[in-house]
Amino acid sequence: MKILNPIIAIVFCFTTIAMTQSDRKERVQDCASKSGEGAIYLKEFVVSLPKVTKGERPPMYRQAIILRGNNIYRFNLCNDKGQSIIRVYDSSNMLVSSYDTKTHKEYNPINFLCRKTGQYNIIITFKDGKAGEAVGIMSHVMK
Amino acid sequence: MIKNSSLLLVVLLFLAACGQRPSENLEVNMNDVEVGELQISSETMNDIIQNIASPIEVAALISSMNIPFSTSYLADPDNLSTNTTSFEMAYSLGALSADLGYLNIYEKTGTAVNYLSSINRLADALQIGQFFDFATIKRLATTSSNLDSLMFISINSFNNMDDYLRETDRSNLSALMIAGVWMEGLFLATQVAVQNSNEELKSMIGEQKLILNDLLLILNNYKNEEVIQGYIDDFETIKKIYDDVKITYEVGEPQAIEKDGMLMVIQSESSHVMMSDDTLQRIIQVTQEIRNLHMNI
Repeated sequence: MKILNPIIAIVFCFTTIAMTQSDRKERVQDCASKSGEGAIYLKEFVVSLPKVTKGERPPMYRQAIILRGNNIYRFNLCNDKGQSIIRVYDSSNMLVSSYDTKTHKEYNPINFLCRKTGQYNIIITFKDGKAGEAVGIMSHVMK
Repeated sequence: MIKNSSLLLVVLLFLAACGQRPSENLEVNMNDVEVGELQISSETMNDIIQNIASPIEVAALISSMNIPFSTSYLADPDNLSTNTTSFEMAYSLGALSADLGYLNIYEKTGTAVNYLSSINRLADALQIGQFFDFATIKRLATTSSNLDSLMFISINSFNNMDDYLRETDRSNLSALMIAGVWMEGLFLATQVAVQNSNEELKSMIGEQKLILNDLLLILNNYKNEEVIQGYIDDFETIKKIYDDVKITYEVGEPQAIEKDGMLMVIQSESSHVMMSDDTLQRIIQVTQEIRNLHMNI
């Protein structure tokens, strides 16, 4: 029985990892399938953020990425928990946001016609600083 | 009892350690995000930057120009040496992934089987074969049943292999894999440019100057490894020619248009590439020499 315990624990560990990886792949594939016509999957952003704590800054997910000029990129979000917002920044300015803070309108998916090859930042947060889980997909849109 | 508790603690620690790496949680003031004044140091960006080279983006651009498919642009996987180092295998894996992307974009999935087999062999040798679902990809390629799924699984496998190399402290191999994708993509674009005079294609080749700079920054992290220094030297040779390429920028505010319920943001700030025909010819020639050297052609 004493010998069995560590074996069970190790099997449990590997099973958990395998299930987590499989679950992640399914979530990503499912979200990529919702990116719409003409979109070819490029990258995923799997995000899980805690809720903001009082007096602290809201958490966010950040990923630096290269985008190429004269390409159309599509960003779509699939929320498992909370309402995620994706934004694209160049070195200093916000270029794209899936949520318009003035009109409270959501855009999912959202297209971005990039005209300058270079480094950009993908930022994902959850509305009102709530905890959330989401998958974001970046796709290439065929012209 | 104490022994059992200790064992449980070890197991719990192991569970915590062997789980997936959590996504990066950085905290910022939400107001900063809203007003668009986010500043990220260039050092941090170089560490984590993604999508430096994509296995399909060059191919997609070429396809969108209605340029016919040609196998002459592709590497022959049968030419690859079977007796190579992990560095060379990682580089070849990247290059063949770019070729696979080209084949998939042009829906030449039957031809892709040779490439799939070679990628699978290289992935196994690099101990990342668990992320390349060879059986499923091969089935999708041979039956041509679902091109979207084939594209997704091919690119997702590539991303997962790249992620795993970095997670297991083999970022040097990840860098070479990305270098292989980039070089094969540049070779593809330049070979198409030999036969097709197209301003958009020329501009895309010129803009590779920016990506090459980023790629060299990453490769230079491993310059103490002799084999990688060899790749750096070759890439520096291309960079020297790219020094003659000038890129200027036109500033502008992004515009948003809504069409069929979908928002399209159009970047008004744009870049313009100035590259002489002589420079283009030199880029084409040197790219061909270096690409063929590393692909045993």
